[in-house]
Amino acid sequence: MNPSDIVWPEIWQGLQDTLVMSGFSLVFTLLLGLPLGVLLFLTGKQQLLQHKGFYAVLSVVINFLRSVPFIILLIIMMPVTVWLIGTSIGIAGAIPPLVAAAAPFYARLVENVLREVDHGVVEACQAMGARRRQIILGALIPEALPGLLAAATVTAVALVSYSAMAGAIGGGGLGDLAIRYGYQRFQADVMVITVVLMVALVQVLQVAGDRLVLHFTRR
Amino acid sequence: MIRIENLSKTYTAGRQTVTALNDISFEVGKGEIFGIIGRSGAGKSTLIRTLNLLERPSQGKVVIDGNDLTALPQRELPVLRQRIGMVFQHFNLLQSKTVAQNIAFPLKLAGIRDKAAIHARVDELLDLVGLGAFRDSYPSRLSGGQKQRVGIARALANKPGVLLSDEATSALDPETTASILELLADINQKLGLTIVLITHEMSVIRTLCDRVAVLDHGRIVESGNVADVFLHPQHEVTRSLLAEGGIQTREAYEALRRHSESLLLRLTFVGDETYEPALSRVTSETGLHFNILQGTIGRIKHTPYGQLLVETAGQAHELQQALNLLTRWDIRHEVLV
Repeated sequence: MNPSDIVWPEIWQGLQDTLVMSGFSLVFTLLLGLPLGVLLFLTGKQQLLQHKGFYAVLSVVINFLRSVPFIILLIIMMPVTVWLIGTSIGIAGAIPPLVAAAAPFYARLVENVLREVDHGVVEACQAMGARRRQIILGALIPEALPGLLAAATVTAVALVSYSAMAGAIGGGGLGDLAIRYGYQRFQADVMVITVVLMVALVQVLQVAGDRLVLHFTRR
Repeated sequence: MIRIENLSKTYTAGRQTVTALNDISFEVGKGEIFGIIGRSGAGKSTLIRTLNLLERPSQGKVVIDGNDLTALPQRELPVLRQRIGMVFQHFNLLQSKTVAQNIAFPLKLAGIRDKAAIHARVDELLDLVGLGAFRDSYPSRLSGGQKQRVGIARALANKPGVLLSDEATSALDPETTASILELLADINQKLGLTIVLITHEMSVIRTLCDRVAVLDHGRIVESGNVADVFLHPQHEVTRSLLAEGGIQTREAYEALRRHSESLLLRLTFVGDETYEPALSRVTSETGLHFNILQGTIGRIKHTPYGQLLVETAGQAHELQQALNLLTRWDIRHEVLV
Protein backbone atom coordinates (compact mmCIF):
# COMPACT_ATOMS: atom_id res chain seq x y z
CA MET A 1 0.00 0.00 0.00
CA ASN A 2 1.39 3.32 -1.10
CA PRO A 3 1.17 6.26 1.34
CA SER A 4 0.10 8.48 -1.55
CA ASP A 5 -3.09 6.42 -1.73
CA ILE A 6 -4.20 7.90 1.58
CA VAL A 7 -7.11 10.16 0.81
CA TRP A 8 -6.22 13.15 3.02
CA PRO A 9 -9.00 15.45 1.79
CA GLU A 10 -11.55 12.74 2.59
CA ILE A 11 -10.02 12.20 6.01
CA TRP A 12 -10.17 15.92 6.67
CA GLN A 13 -13.78 15.96 5.52
CA GLY A 14 -14.50 12.92 7.71
CA LEU A 15 -13.04 14.64 10.77
CA GLN A 16 -15.17 17.71 10.14
CA ASP A 17 -18.26 15.54 9.68
CA THR A 18 -17.59 13.71 12.93
CA LEU A 19 -17.15 17.02 14.76
CA VAL A 20 -20.36 18.43 13.28
CA MET A 21 -22.35 15.26 14.03
CA SER A 22 -21.10 14.88 17.59
CA GLY A 23 -21.23 18.63 18.25
CA PHE A 24 -24.82 19.15 17.16
CA SER A 25 -25.91 15.92 18.79
CA LEU A 26 -24.25 17.00 22.04
CA VAL A 27 -26.09 20.33 22.02
CA PHE A 28 -29.47 18.68 21.45
CA THR A 29 -28.65 15.92 23.92
CA LEU A 30 -27.92 18.43 26.66
CA LEU A 31 -30.96 20.53 25.79
CA LEU A 32 -33.19 17.48 25.98
CA GLY A 33 -31.38 15.37 28.55
CA LEU A 34 -30.90 18.02 31.24
CA PRO A 35 -34.60 18.86 31.72
CA LEU A 36 -35.45 15.18 31.38
CA GLY A 37 -32.91 14.28 34.05
CA VAL A 38 -34.09 17.07 36.34
CA LEU A 39 -37.67 15.88 35.91
CA LEU A 40 -36.63 12.31 36.61
CA PHE A 41 -34.87 13.43 39.78
CA LEU A 42 -37.69 15.67 40.99
CA THR A 43 -40.41 13.06 40.52
CA GLY A 44 -38.33 10.46 42.34
CA LYS A 45 -38.92 9.21 45.86
CA GLN A 46 -38.89 11.87 48.61
CA GLN A 47 -38.24 14.66 46.13
CA LEU A 48 -39.95 17.97 45.44
CA LEU A 49 -42.35 16.70 42.77
CA GLN A 50 -42.58 13.10 43.92
CA HIS A 51 -44.86 11.21 41.54
CA LYS A 52 -44.60 7.45 41.51
CA GLY A 53 -46.46 6.84 38.25
CA PHE A 54 -44.74 9.56 36.22
CA TYR A 55 -41.33 8.50 37.47
CA ALA A 56 -42.00 4.84 36.61
CA VAL A 57 -43.11 5.63 33.06
CA LEU A 58 -40.26 8.03 32.37
CA SER A 59 -37.80 5.59 33.87
CA VAL A 60 -39.00 2.72 31.68
CA VAL A 61 -38.82 4.85 28.51
CA ILE A 62 -35.29 5.93 29.39
CA ASN A 63 -34.21 2.39 30.15
CA PHE A 64 -35.73 1.20 26.88
CA LEU A 65 -33.83 3.75 24.81
CA ARG A 66 -30.63 2.96 26.68
CA SER A 67 -30.91 -0.77 26.29
CA VAL A 68 -31.70 -0.99 22.56
CA PRO A 69 -28.38 -1.56 20.75
CA PHE A 70 -27.46 1.64 18.94
CA ILE A 71 -27.24 -0.02 15.54
CA ILE A 72 -30.86 -1.20 15.95
CA LEU A 73 -31.93 2.22 17.22
CA LEU A 74 -30.48 3.73 14.02
CA ILE A 75 -32.88 1.55 12.01
CA ILE A 76 -35.91 1.99 14.27
CA MET A 77 -35.43 5.77 14.22
CA MET A 78 -35.41 6.03 10.40
CA PRO A 79 -39.09 6.98 9.92
CA VAL A 80 -38.90 9.43 12.81
CA THR A 81 -35.77 10.99 11.36
CA VAL A 82 -37.39 11.37 7.93
CA TRP A 83 -40.42 12.95 9.56
CA LEU A 84 -38.22 15.32 11.57
CA ILE A 85 -35.72 16.54 9.00
CA GLY A 86 -36.78 15.03 5.71
CA THR A 87 -33.94 12.52 5.31
CA SER A 88 -32.49 9.61 7.21
CA ILE A 89 -29.04 9.65 5.69
CA GLY A 90 -26.04 11.94 5.76
CA ILE A 91 -24.80 13.89 8.72
CA ALA A 92 -28.16 15.47 9.44
CA GLY A 93 -29.82 12.06 9.31
CA ALA A 94 -27.45 10.74 11.96
CA ILE A 95 -28.23 13.44 14.50
CA PRO A 96 -31.75 12.38 15.62
CA PRO A 97 -30.78 8.77 16.39
CA LEU A 98 -27.64 9.99 18.16
CA VAL A 99 -29.73 12.30 20.32
CA ALA A 100 -32.31 9.56 20.90
CA ALA A 101 -29.55 7.34 22.24
CA ALA A 102 -27.55 9.94 24.19
CA ALA A 103 -30.30 12.10 25.76
CA PRO A 104 -31.71 9.29 27.93
CA PHE A 105 -28.19 8.32 28.87
CA TYR A 106 -27.41 11.88 29.94
CA ALA A 107 -30.77 12.20 31.71
CA ARG A 108 -29.96 9.19 33.87
CA LEU A 109 -26.53 10.62 34.69
CA VAL A 110 -28.15 13.95 35.59
CA GLU A 111 -30.55 12.18 37.95
CA ASN A 112 -27.63 10.50 39.71
CA VAL A 113 -25.65 13.72 39.96
CA LEU A 114 -28.61 15.59 41.46
CA ARG A 115 -29.14 12.82 44.00
CA GLU A 116 -25.64 13.51 45.26
CA VAL A 117 -26.58 17.05 46.22
CA ASP A 118 -26.96 17.22 50.00
CA HIS A 119 -30.67 17.12 50.81
CA GLY A 120 -29.98 19.50 53.68
CA VAL A 121 -29.30 22.23 51.14
CA VAL A 122 -32.75 21.75 49.61
CA GLU A 123 -34.23 21.81 53.09
CA ALA A 124 -32.37 25.01 53.97
CA CYS A 125 -33.76 26.61 50.81
CA GLN A 126 -37.28 25.59 51.77
CA ALA A 127 -36.76 26.99 55.24
CA MET A 128 -35.61 30.28 53.68
CA GLY A 129 -38.88 30.43 51.78
CA ALA A 130 -37.60 29.39 48.35
CA ARG A 131 -40.16 28.29 45.82
CA ARG A 132 -39.60 25.14 43.81
CA ARG A 133 -38.33 26.95 40.73
CA GLN A 134 -35.91 28.94 42.90
CA ILE A 135 -34.64 25.80 44.59
CA ILE A 136 -34.03 24.05 41.26
CA LEU A 137 -32.44 26.95 39.38
CA GLY A 138 -30.86 28.76 42.30
CA ALA A 139 -29.51 25.89 44.35
CA LEU A 140 -29.82 22.37 42.93
CA ILE A 141 -28.31 23.02 39.51
CA PRO A 142 -25.52 25.36 40.65
CA GLU A 143 -24.60 22.89 43.42
CA ALA A 144 -24.55 20.03 40.92
CA LEU A 145 -22.75 21.95 38.16
CA PRO A 146 -19.37 20.17 38.38
CA GLY A 147 -21.14 16.80 38.29
CA LEU A 148 -23.36 17.87 35.41
CA LEU A 149 -20.29 18.93 33.43
CA ALA A 150 -18.52 15.66 34.17
CA ALA A 151 -21.62 13.78 32.99
CA ALA A 152 -21.71 15.93 29.84
CA THR A 153 -18.09 14.99 29.15
CA VAL A 154 -18.85 11.29 29.45
CA THR A 155 -21.83 11.79 27.14
CA ALA A 156 -19.73 13.72 24.60
CA VAL A 157 -17.21 10.89 24.45
CA ALA A 158 -20.01 8.35 24.00
CA LEU A 159 -21.42 10.49 21.20
CA VAL A 160 -18.10 10.47 19.33
CA SER A 161 -17.99 6.71 19.38
CA TYR A 162 -21.71 6.38 18.52
CA SER A 163 -21.22 8.81 15.63
CA ALA A 164 -18.66 6.42 14.18
CA MET A 165 -21.34 3.73 14.18
CA ALA A 166 -23.82 6.11 12.58
CA GLY A 167 -21.36 6.24 9.70
CA ALA A 168 -22.25 2.63 8.98
CA ILE A 169 -25.68 3.58 7.69
CA GLY A 170 -24.42 6.41 5.55
CA GLY A 171 -23.90 9.00 8.22
CA GLY A 172 -20.44 9.99 7.06
CA GLY A 173 -17.60 10.96 9.36
CA LEU A 174 -14.49 9.13 10.50
CA GLY A 175 -16.33 5.92 11.30
CA ASP A 176 -17.69 5.82 7.76
CA LEU A 177 -14.16 6.26 6.39
CA ALA A 178 -12.79 3.53 8.59
CA ILE A 179 -15.39 1.11 7.30
CA ARG A 180 -15.23 2.06 3.62
CA TYR A 181 -11.47 2.34 3.24
CA GLY A 182 -10.12 0.36 6.11
CA TYR A 183 -12.54 -2.54 6.15
CA GLN A 184 -14.01 -2.78 2.67
CA ARG A 185 -10.86 -1.82 0.72
CA PHE A 186 -8.30 -3.25 3.12
CA GLN A 187 -6.56 0.13 3.49
CA ALA A 188 -5.28 -0.48 6.98
CA ASP A 189 -3.39 2.84 7.07
CA VAL A 190 -6.60 4.81 6.59
CA MET A 191 -8.18 2.81 9.38
CA VAL A 192 -5.22 3.51 11.67
CA ILE A 193 -5.33 7.22 10.89
CA THR A 194 -9.06 7.48 11.57
CA VAL A 195 -8.72 5.53 14.79
CA VAL A 196 -5.82 7.73 15.91
CA LEU A 197 -7.87 10.81 15.13
CA MET A 198 -10.82 9.46 17.12
CA VAL A 199 -8.59 8.65 20.08
CA ALA A 200 -7.10 12.14 19.93
CA LEU A 201 -10.57 13.68 19.75
CA VAL A 202 -11.74 11.75 22.78
CA GLN A 203 -8.58 12.75 24.67
CA VAL A 204 -9.14 16.42 23.89
CA LEU A 205 -12.77 16.19 24.98
CA GLN A 206 -11.91 14.47 28.23
CA VAL A 207 -9.13 16.89 29.16
CA ALA A 208 -11.29 19.89 28.31
CA GLY A 209 -14.17 18.44 30.31
CA ASP A 210 -11.95 17.76 33.33
CA ARG A 211 -10.63 21.31 33.23
CA LEU A 212 -14.14 22.71 33.12
CA VAL A 213 -15.21 20.53 36.05
CA LEU A 214 -12.20 21.66 38.07
CA HIS A 215 -12.92 25.29 37.26
CA PHE A 216 -16.40 25.03 38.76
CA THR A 217 -15.49 22.87 41.75
CA ARG A 218 -15.62 24.79 45.04
CA ARG A 219 -14.74 22.02 47.45
CA MET B 1 -44.94 35.03 69.56
CA ILE B 2 -45.12 31.29 69.04
CA ARG B 3 -48.01 29.15 70.12
CA ILE B 4 -48.06 25.40 69.61
CA GLU B 5 -51.36 23.67 70.26
CA ASN B 6 -51.89 19.94 70.59
CA LEU B 7 -49.34 19.13 67.94
CA SER B 8 -49.10 15.52 66.83
CA LYS B 9 -47.22 13.82 64.07
CA THR B 10 -47.63 10.22 63.03
CA TYR B 11 -45.90 8.35 60.25
CA THR B 12 -46.91 5.17 58.60
CA ALA B 13 -43.91 2.97 58.01
CA GLY B 14 -45.16 -0.09 56.20
CA ARG B 15 -48.03 -1.43 58.28
CA GLN B 16 -46.86 0.26 61.48
CA THR B 17 -47.91 3.65 62.67
CA VAL B 18 -45.16 5.56 64.41
CA THR B 19 -46.03 8.48 66.67
CA ALA B 20 -43.20 10.98 66.47
CA LEU B 21 -44.95 13.80 68.32
CA ASN B 22 -47.75 13.29 70.79
CA ASP B 23 -50.05 16.15 71.79
CA ILE B 24 -47.46 18.87 72.26
CA SER B 25 -48.40 22.34 73.42
CA PHE B 26 -46.25 25.26 74.48
CA GLU B 27 -45.86 28.97 74.08
CA VAL B 28 -42.77 31.06 73.54
CA GLY B 29 -42.83 34.76 74.33
CA LYS B 30 -41.25 37.48 72.24
CA GLY B 31 -37.52 37.76 72.81
CA GLU B 32 -37.41 34.55 74.78
CA ILE B 33 -34.92 31.73 74.24
CA PHE B 34 -36.74 28.45 74.49
CA GLY B 35 -34.83 25.19 74.56
CA ILE B 36 -36.09 21.73 73.78
CA ILE B 37 -33.91 18.92 75.04
CA GLY B 38 -34.16 15.19 74.60
CA ARG B 39 -32.26 12.13 73.57
CA SER B 40 -31.89 11.20 69.94
CA GLY B 41 -35.12 9.72 68.73
CA ALA B 42 -37.18 11.72 71.21
CA GLY B 43 -38.72 13.71 68.36
CA LYS B 44 -36.78 16.98 68.76
CA SER B 45 -35.88 17.29 65.11
CA THR B 46 -39.41 16.55 63.97
CA LEU B 47 -40.73 19.08 66.45
CA ILE B 48 -38.54 21.97 65.32
CA ARG B 49 -39.20 21.12 61.68
CA THR B 50 -42.94 21.39 62.25
CA LEU B 51 -42.49 24.96 63.50
CA ASN B 52 -41.85 26.18 59.96
CA LEU B 53 -43.82 23.34 58.42
CA LEU B 54 -40.84 21.63 56.80
CA GLU B 55 -42.75 18.78 58.36
CA ARG B 56 -46.52 19.05 58.26
CA PRO B 57 -48.09 18.01 61.58
CA SER B 58 -50.83 15.39 61.51
CA GLN B 59 -52.80 17.36 64.06
CA GLY B 60 -52.62 20.60 65.95
CA LYS B 61 -51.76 24.20 65.27
CA VAL B 62 -48.59 26.20 64.80
CA VAL B 63 -49.27 29.90 65.34
CA ILE B 64 -46.40 32.30 64.83
CA ASP B 65 -46.88 36.03 65.26
CA GLY B 66 -50.63 35.58 65.02
CA ASN B 67 -50.46 33.58 61.77
CA ASP B 68 -51.74 30.05 61.88
CA LEU B 69 -49.20 28.33 59.62
CA THR B 70 -51.11 25.08 59.58
CA ALA B 71 -54.13 26.83 58.05
CA LEU B 72 -52.16 28.44 55.21
CA PRO B 73 -52.20 26.97 51.72
CA GLN B 74 -48.84 25.53 50.65
CA ARG B 75 -48.19 28.31 48.15
CA GLU B 76 -48.33 31.02 50.81
CA LEU B 77 -45.84 29.30 53.10
CA PRO B 78 -42.64 30.64 51.44
CA VAL B 79 -43.48 34.26 52.25
CA LEU B 80 -44.04 33.37 55.90
CA ARG B 81 -40.92 31.26 56.09
CA GLN B 82 -38.88 34.28 55.07
CA ARG B 83 -39.84 35.70 58.48
CA ILE B 84 -38.56 32.59 60.29
CA GLY B 85 -34.81 31.99 60.23
CA MET B 86 -33.37 28.52 60.65
CA VAL B 87 -29.87 27.22 61.36
CA PHE B 88 -28.81 23.62 60.98
CA GLN B 89 -26.43 21.16 62.60
CA HIS B 90 -24.57 20.65 59.34
CA PHE B 91 -24.88 24.30 58.26
CA ASN B 92 -26.38 23.40 54.85
CA LEU B 93 -24.60 26.20 53.03
CA LEU B 94 -24.48 26.36 49.25
CA GLN B 95 -20.99 25.10 48.37
CA SER B 96 -21.15 26.75 44.96
CA LYS B 97 -21.66 30.22 46.37
CA THR B 98 -19.33 32.52 48.29
CA VAL B 99 -20.04 33.60 51.86
CA ALA B 100 -21.55 36.86 50.59
CA GLN B 101 -23.63 35.05 47.97
CA ASN B 102 -24.89 32.60 50.57
CA ILE B 103 -26.04 35.44 52.79
CA ALA B 104 -27.54 37.30 49.83
CA PHE B 105 -29.48 34.22 48.69
CA PRO B 106 -32.48 34.64 51.02
CA LEU B 107 -32.61 38.34 50.14
CA LYS B 108 -32.89 37.44 46.46
CA LEU B 109 -35.51 34.83 47.29
CA ALA B 110 -37.50 37.57 48.98
CA GLY B 111 -37.48 39.50 45.71
CA ILE B 112 -34.93 42.17 46.55
CA ARG B 113 -33.29 43.24 43.28
CA ASP B 114 -31.43 46.38 44.39
CA LYS B 115 -27.77 45.33 44.30
CA ALA B 116 -26.56 48.16 46.51
CA ALA B 117 -29.17 47.31 49.15
CA ILE B 118 -28.18 43.64 49.09
CA HIS B 119 -24.50 44.54 49.33
CA ALA B 120 -25.13 46.81 52.30
CA ARG B 121 -27.26 44.26 54.12
CA VAL B 122 -24.67 41.52 53.54
CA ASP B 123 -21.94 43.78 54.97
CA GLU B 124 -24.10 44.52 57.99
CA LEU B 125 -24.65 40.80 58.62
CA LEU B 126 -21.00 39.90 58.08
CA ASP B 127 -20.18 42.51 60.66
CA LEU B 128 -22.72 41.12 63.09
CA VAL B 129 -21.28 37.60 62.92
CA GLY B 130 -17.67 38.78 62.69
CA LEU B 131 -16.81 37.40 59.26
CA GLY B 132 -16.00 40.58 57.38
CA ALA B 133 -12.72 39.19 56.08
CA PHE B 134 -14.37 36.13 54.51
CA ARG B 135 -16.81 37.90 52.20
CA ASP B 136 -15.57 36.22 49.02
CA SER B 137 -14.42 32.89 50.45
CA TYR B 138 -16.19 29.67 49.56
CA PRO B 139 -17.64 27.64 52.46
CA SER B 140 -15.15 24.82 51.91
CA ARG B 141 -12.40 27.18 53.09
CA LEU B 142 -14.11 27.91 56.41
CA SER B 143 -13.95 26.13 59.76
CA GLY B 144 -17.09 24.64 61.31
CA GLY B 145 -17.63 27.62 63.57
CA GLN B 146 -17.22 30.04 60.69
CA LYS B 147 -19.67 28.03 58.59
CA GLN B 148 -22.23 28.22 61.37
CA ARG B 149 -21.70 31.98 61.55
CA VAL B 150 -22.51 32.19 57.86
CA GLY B 151 -25.57 30.01 58.55
CA ILE B 152 -26.68 32.42 61.27
CA ALA B 153 -26.08 35.48 59.10
CA ARG B 154 -28.07 33.85 56.30
CA ALA B 155 -30.91 33.01 58.68
CA LEU B 156 -31.06 36.63 59.85
CA ALA B 157 -30.88 38.21 56.40
CA ASN B 158 -34.59 38.94 56.07
CA LYS B 159 -34.84 40.26 59.64
CA PRO B 160 -36.96 37.42 60.98
CA GLY B 161 -38.73 37.63 64.34
CA VAL B 162 -37.98 33.99 65.10
CA LEU B 163 -34.85 31.90 64.79
CA LEU B 164 -35.07 28.11 64.84
CA SER B 165 -31.88 26.31 65.74
CA ASP B 166 -31.66 22.63 64.89
CA GLU B 167 -28.69 21.32 66.94
CA ALA B 168 -26.65 24.30 65.73
CA THR B 169 -23.65 23.50 67.92
CA SER B 170 -23.74 19.71 67.90
CA ALA B 171 -21.12 19.38 65.17
CA LEU B 172 -18.74 21.83 66.82
CA ASP B 173 -15.98 21.48 69.41
CA PRO B 174 -16.60 22.87 72.93
CA GLU B 175 -14.72 26.11 72.39
CA THR B 176 -16.47 26.88 69.11
CA THR B 177 -19.77 25.88 70.68
CA ALA B 178 -19.22 28.47 73.38
CA SER B 179 -18.52 31.20 70.85
CA ILE B 180 -21.60 30.33 68.77
CA LEU B 181 -23.78 30.30 71.91
CA GLU B 182 -22.36 33.69 72.79
CA LEU B 183 -23.26 34.96 69.33
CA LEU B 184 -26.82 33.63 69.69
CA ALA B 185 -27.20 35.27 73.10
CA ASP B 186 -25.82 38.47 71.58
CA ILE B 187 -28.29 38.60 68.68
CA ASN B 188 -31.11 37.69 71.03
CA GLN B 189 -30.21 40.77 73.08
CA LYS B 190 -29.43 43.13 70.20
CA LEU B 191 -32.29 42.21 67.90
CA GLY B 192 -34.90 41.05 70.41
CA LEU B 193 -35.05 37.84 68.44
CA THR B 194 -37.13 34.94 69.71
CA ILE B 195 -35.09 31.73 69.57
CA VAL B 196 -36.31 28.16 69.69
CA LEU B 197 -33.52 25.63 69.81
CA ILE B 198 -33.22 21.91 70.12
CA THR B 199 -30.21 20.18 71.58
CA HIS B 200 -29.16 17.08 73.41
CA GLU B 201 -26.62 19.01 75.48
CA MET B 202 -27.68 20.30 78.89
CA SER B 203 -24.83 22.82 78.82
CA VAL B 204 -26.41 24.56 75.82
CA ILE B 205 -29.69 24.92 77.71
CA ARG B 206 -27.88 26.15 80.83
CA THR B 207 -25.87 28.86 79.14
CA LEU B 208 -28.45 30.14 76.69
CA CYS B 209 -32.07 29.36 77.49
CA ASP B 210 -34.71 31.09 79.58
CA ARG B 211 -37.11 28.21 79.53
CA VAL B 212 -36.77 24.56 78.67
CA ALA B 213 -38.98 21.66 77.69
CA VAL B 214 -37.83 18.07 78.06
CA LEU B 215 -38.99 15.83 75.24
CA ASP B 216 -39.22 12.08 75.56
CA HIS B 217 -40.93 9.67 73.18
CA GLY B 218 -42.66 12.53 71.42
CA ARG B 219 -44.10 14.04 74.60
CA ILE B 220 -43.09 16.99 76.73
CA VAL B 221 -42.47 15.37 80.12
CA GLU B 222 -41.33 18.48 81.94
CA SER B 223 -41.01 22.17 81.22
CA GLY B 224 -40.39 25.42 83.00
CA ASN B 225 -37.75 27.99 83.82
CA VAL B 226 -34.30 26.58 83.28
CA ALA B 227 -33.20 27.16 86.89
CA ASP B 228 -36.25 25.34 88.26
CA VAL B 229 -35.94 22.39 85.93
CA PHE B 230 -32.21 22.12 86.51
CA LEU B 231 -32.23 22.38 90.25
CA HIS B 232 -35.40 20.41 90.91
CA PRO B 233 -35.88 17.99 88.07
CA GLN B 234 -39.16 16.11 88.44
CA HIS B 235 -38.96 13.58 85.66
CA GLU B 236 -36.66 10.60 85.36
CA VAL B 237 -35.53 11.59 81.86
CA THR B 238 -34.56 15.06 83.01
CA ARG B 239 -32.56 13.61 85.89
CA SER B 240 -30.65 11.28 83.66
CA LEU B 241 -29.95 14.05 81.14
CA LEU B 242 -28.65 16.17 84.02
CA ALA B 243 -26.50 13.33 85.27
CA GLU B 244 -24.78 13.23 81.89
CA GLY B 245 -24.22 16.95 82.19
CA GLY B 246 -22.17 16.35 85.35
CA ILE B 247 -24.97 16.80 87.88
CA GLN B 248 -25.48 13.63 89.92
CA THR B 249 -28.67 11.63 90.23
CA ARG B 250 -30.38 10.74 93.46
CA GLU B 251 -29.32 7.12 93.07
CA ALA B 252 -25.69 8.11 92.94
CA TYR B 253 -26.00 9.89 96.27
CA GLU B 254 -27.05 6.84 98.20
CA ALA B 255 -23.62 5.37 97.90
CA LEU B 256 -22.15 8.49 99.49
CA ARG B 257 -23.82 8.15 102.89
CA ARG B 258 -21.43 6.79 105.52
CA HIS B 259 -23.61 6.43 108.62
CA SER B 260 -26.93 4.71 108.31
CA GLU B 261 -28.42 6.92 111.08
CA SER B 262 -27.43 10.19 109.40
CA LEU B 263 -29.41 12.07 106.77
CA LEU B 264 -28.30 13.09 103.35
CA LEU B 265 -29.57 16.55 102.44
CA ARG B 266 -29.45 18.52 99.26
CA LEU B 267 -29.56 22.26 99.76
CA THR B 268 -30.22 24.58 96.86
CA PHE B 269 -29.49 28.27 96.84
CA VAL B 270 -30.68 30.47 94.02
CA GLY B 271 -29.85 34.13 93.41
CA ASP B 272 -28.33 36.25 96.18
CA GLU B 273 -28.83 33.62 98.89
CA THR B 274 -26.04 31.72 97.13
CA TYR B 275 -23.61 34.06 98.85
CA GLU B 276 -25.06 33.70 102.40
CA PRO B 277 -23.23 31.58 105.04
CA ALA B 278 -26.38 29.60 105.78
CA LEU B 279 -24.78 26.35 106.93
CA SER B 280 -22.57 27.82 109.64
CA ARG B 281 -25.55 29.80 110.95
CA VAL B 282 -27.55 26.61 111.29
CA THR B 283 -24.68 24.96 113.12
CA SER B 284 -24.23 27.85 115.54
CA GLU B 285 -27.95 28.00 116.34
CA THR B 286 -28.72 24.28 116.60
CA GLY B 287 -25.43 22.51 117.21
CA LEU B 288 -26.00 20.23 114.21
CA HIS B 289 -22.87 19.60 112.18
CA PHE B 290 -22.63 19.12 108.47
CA ASN B 291 -20.23 17.13 106.42
CA ILE B 292 -20.10 18.57 102.90
CA LEU B 293 -19.89 15.71 100.39
CA GLN B 294 -20.30 17.60 97.20
CA GLY B 295 -20.89 21.16 96.13
CA THR B 296 -21.46 23.20 93.01
CA ILE B 297 -21.70 26.88 92.48
CA GLY B 298 -22.46 28.17 89.04
CA ARG B 299 -24.68 30.20 86.83
CA ILE B 300 -27.76 29.27 84.89
CA LYS B 301 -27.88 31.94 82.22
CA HIS B 302 -27.66 35.01 84.49
CA THR B 303 -28.82 33.46 87.75
CA PRO B 304 -26.19 32.36 90.28
CA TYR B 305 -26.99 29.11 92.01
CA GLY B 306 -25.37 26.78 94.48
CA GLN B 307 -26.13 23.24 95.37
CA LEU B 308 -24.65 21.41 98.36
CA LEU B 309 -24.85 17.79 99.26
CA VAL B 310 -24.36 17.37 103.00
CA GLU B 311 -24.49 14.58 105.52
CA THR B 312 -25.79 15.52 108.95
CA ALA B 313 -24.04 14.65 112.22
CA GLY B 314 -25.95 15.27 115.45
CA GLN B 315 -28.95 14.50 117.63
CA ALA B 316 -32.45 14.00 116.30
CA HIS B 317 -33.81 17.16 117.99
CA GLU B 318 -30.94 19.22 116.55
CA LEU B 319 -31.79 17.88 113.14
CA GLN B 320 -35.47 18.80 113.51
CA GLN B 321 -34.52 22.30 114.60
CA ALA B 322 -32.16 22.66 111.68
CA LEU B 323 -34.79 21.62 109.17
CA ASN B 324 -37.21 24.12 110.70
CA LEU B 325 -34.62 26.85 110.34
CA LEU B 326 -33.95 26.05 106.71
CA THR B 327 -37.66 26.17 106.00
CA ARG B 328 -37.97 29.45 107.85
CA TRP B 329 -35.09 30.93 105.88
CA ASP B 330 -36.67 29.72 102.68
CA ILE B 331 -33.72 27.60 101.68
CA ARG B 332 -34.78 24.78 99.45
CA HIS B 333 -33.75 21.45 100.98
CA GLU B 334 -34.50 17.88 100.16
CA VAL B 335 -33.92 14.83 102.30
CA LEU B 336 -32.40 12.37 99.89
CA VAL B 337 -31.85 9.31 102.10
